[in-house]
Amino acid sequence: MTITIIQRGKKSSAFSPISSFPLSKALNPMRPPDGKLVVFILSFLALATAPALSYSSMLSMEHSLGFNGHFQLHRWTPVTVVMENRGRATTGNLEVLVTSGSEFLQDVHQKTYTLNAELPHNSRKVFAFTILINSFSHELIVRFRQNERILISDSINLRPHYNEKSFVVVADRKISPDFLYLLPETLYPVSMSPRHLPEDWYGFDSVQLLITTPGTLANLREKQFQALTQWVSQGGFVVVSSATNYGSLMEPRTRRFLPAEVLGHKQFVELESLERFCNQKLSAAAPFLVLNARVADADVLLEENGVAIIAEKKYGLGKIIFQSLNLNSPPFNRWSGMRGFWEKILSRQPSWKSEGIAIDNQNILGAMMSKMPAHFPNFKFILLFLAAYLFLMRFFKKRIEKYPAQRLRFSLYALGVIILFSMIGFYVFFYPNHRKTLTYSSFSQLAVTGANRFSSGKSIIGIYALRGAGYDFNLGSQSFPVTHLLYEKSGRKKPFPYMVHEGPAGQRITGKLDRWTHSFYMTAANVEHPYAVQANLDKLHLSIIIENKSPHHIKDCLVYFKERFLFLGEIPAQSVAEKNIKLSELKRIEFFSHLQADSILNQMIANGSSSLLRTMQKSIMSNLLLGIHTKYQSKPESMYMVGWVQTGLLSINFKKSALQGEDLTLIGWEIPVGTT
Amino acid sequence: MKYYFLTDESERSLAPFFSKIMVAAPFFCVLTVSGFILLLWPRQSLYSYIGSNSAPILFFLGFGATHLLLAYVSLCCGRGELSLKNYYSRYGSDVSTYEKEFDFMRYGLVAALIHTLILILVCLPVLILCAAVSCMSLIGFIKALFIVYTASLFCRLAGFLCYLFWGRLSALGYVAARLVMIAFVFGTYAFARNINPLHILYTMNTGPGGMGAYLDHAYGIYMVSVGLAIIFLVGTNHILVGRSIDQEKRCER
Repeated sequence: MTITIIQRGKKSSAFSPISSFPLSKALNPMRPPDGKLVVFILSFLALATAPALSYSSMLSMEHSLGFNGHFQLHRWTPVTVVMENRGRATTGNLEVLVTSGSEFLQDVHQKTYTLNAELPHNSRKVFAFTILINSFSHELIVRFRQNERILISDSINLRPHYNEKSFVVVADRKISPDFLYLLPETLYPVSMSPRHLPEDWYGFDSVQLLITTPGTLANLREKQFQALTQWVSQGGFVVVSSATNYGSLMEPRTRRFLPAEVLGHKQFVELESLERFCNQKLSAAAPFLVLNARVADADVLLEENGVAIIAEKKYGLGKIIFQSLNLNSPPFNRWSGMRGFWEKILSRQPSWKSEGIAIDNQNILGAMMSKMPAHFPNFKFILLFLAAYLFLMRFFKKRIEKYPAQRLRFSLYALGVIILFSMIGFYVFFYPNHRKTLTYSSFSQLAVTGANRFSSGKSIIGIYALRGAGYDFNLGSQSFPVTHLLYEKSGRKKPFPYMVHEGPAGQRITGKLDRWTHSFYMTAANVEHPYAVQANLDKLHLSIIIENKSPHHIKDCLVYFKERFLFLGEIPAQSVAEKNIKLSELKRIEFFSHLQADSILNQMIANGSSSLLRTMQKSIMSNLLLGIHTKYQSKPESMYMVGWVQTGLLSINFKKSALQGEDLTLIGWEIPVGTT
Repeated sequence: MKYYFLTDESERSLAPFFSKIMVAAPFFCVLTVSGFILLLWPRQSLYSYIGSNSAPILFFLGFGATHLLLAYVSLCCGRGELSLKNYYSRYGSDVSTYEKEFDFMRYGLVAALIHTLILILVCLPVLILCAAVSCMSLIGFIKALFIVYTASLFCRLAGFLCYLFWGRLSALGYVAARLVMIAFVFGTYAFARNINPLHILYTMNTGPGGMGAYLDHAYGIYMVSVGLAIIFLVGTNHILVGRSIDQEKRCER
């Protein structure tokens, strides 16, 4: 800036109207600028920018992406940010901006994950996000924003960090780097600091196996521990490797997760039993200690001299493997059979899968949208309304023309008609949609397998705006992996901007919609459900016992068994229904063919139900029936049942409570049929 | 102001409220707009519009058509074209009108304000339907009514100015009045979109809505510009009518 002023002074012509004012001296082309003035201006600028500079110099930020800097594309991954504030107390929004899409396809869009951060004086805080990265070609931005001012910002080039394999994560600070090379090659082994483990269960999305120790478990932050237990209960796989110091196993929090009773230590020189497990025994030159512990409700996979070497415990849909060997101590850490051992361990990962019958998302979106809670006024009513209005107006026009003496009176009548029709128009046609600025609908699909109380669920939420409006909703107190969905027919390549807020009260999704637009969000999670079904087949009957503990009826239940579909009707709320079907009657039903899909659908629709249910049935039922038939026609030992519940799988709470909407859940059960 | 001046059906009133043609004009306006919206009623369902992220433009079409019709009717009323028994046979024998003989502020302006309001009122139920289909906000709807009202009033006053300059029977006045309307309704789109009523109605219909800072800005500019133009026309008309009254008084003396 100094140089600019001097150069202008030299080059410009000789005219200055304000030479008496000090500033004008600097700008006066006739005179070289006063050095003091330049110093004054610079000092002034320095003072003016000081607050912003001071903020950035007093705030510092460290971040950790994924698992030791590695992440898998299209999978949820943790980001941990450590903020340090050496200045005065400050609050703001910590944001992680993920950019996806391609410039070529013109679908570049940004998704913002944010949380409110309070940073007291001389504080250091850890903040955790769980983000979804779909593209490595854009930088990830981490920034701290106070209102519109960005106080500190950093960007991460994602290209060197992405990975195509799932991870086996070793969360133990003491692990040697050599250990990682002995883990199964099908996975990408990563050692990471436990403090960077995710705080949301879906942060483990790309993890197939987590290896940890009781000490690490005991030191996890509460949210991390909750996330870990939730992940395992939803199908995660964790190996807890003991150490000689078993104090951490006694921690109440750890005991809730892994209830182990420690019986002491036992000395071994070799473990022959491992040969049965992974074809190589573990032997050592010197004796070594093995922790003798019993895990409650666990299956002992390997035992040697009364000591459980490997125990397996089911935890929800997932598994915990407790092994009594210390990863970091000889002879285990030098054992040549290590790779085989871990491959064998990996082969024991939970095999539970509950996929249900896949329904095309676009079909669902189309059906949801077609039953959004707003409609145009009925054309017939409009026609009638206009005809009546025009008739009356013509009538009064004629009267005014015909009876000049009474034209004022007729004019007033006409005015009355105008007011009346305006009011009718307002209340009947204008007001109903005026109240529906923003509406929503949700559709969930629950795929239940066997007698599991947990099952995989998918929820789609559609938000529709007739006028420009903002929305703000949460899915209860828990966090879920929420992504947007694009309705292909809309032709829109990128979503309307939205933000995912993390906070102590849970996760919130906020965004803005223009008038006459929509947004769809999808989330998937394994959830606990209140339904149970049992089926039994004897020589004469097929009996099905359906337990519905939910406060909603299960409607239009349909069962597929031995290539036939049969109706079960409605299962009332909070009841146990037993249906006995005579095999002779079952045999009378025709085998299912694609031609029958329509007649089954027509029967269902004839049963009568609310609009979203009926529309959804019309839209997806044919494909669903064909899907069931294709998947289960070769499984005579299984039965598949579908039912509809007019409520959502997740509770969707909008900040604007009066928002109109409808929820629907499709439940699909895969039921093994027992025989007597 | 006397009621008689508004209702006298002779040619001495530029726009007598109850003359046959003046009663027929709003009826035919509402008939035309009704036919128009029935013809252009959305064939798709509401969700199809939401699904394709596009708004039905019936609001723009209905309000636009009403605006054009009322602006034209107002222009003709302002120039007194609708009160002549036979427009083409009366060249050279125009009669003096009440609007010229009485104070503009107390008569001509009040008549223009009321008459424009009546024209809009007659179309109100139909306009409500247009707003209902396009799901306009109540504020947006009221704003649109103001646009149509101010545009019609502007044309009414512009027509009256042409009448004051050239009288009812002048071809030049006839052409000038229409040129003013064309310039205002269509010409402004080319050089000053923010004061083009059709453009603003279209933006109100298809713009983002709810977050339309631009729309509020454009609406503000429109209202200020047209408001100033109306004030200018009111002032000019007032002066010209005043001069005309003075001239008549001098002649009488």
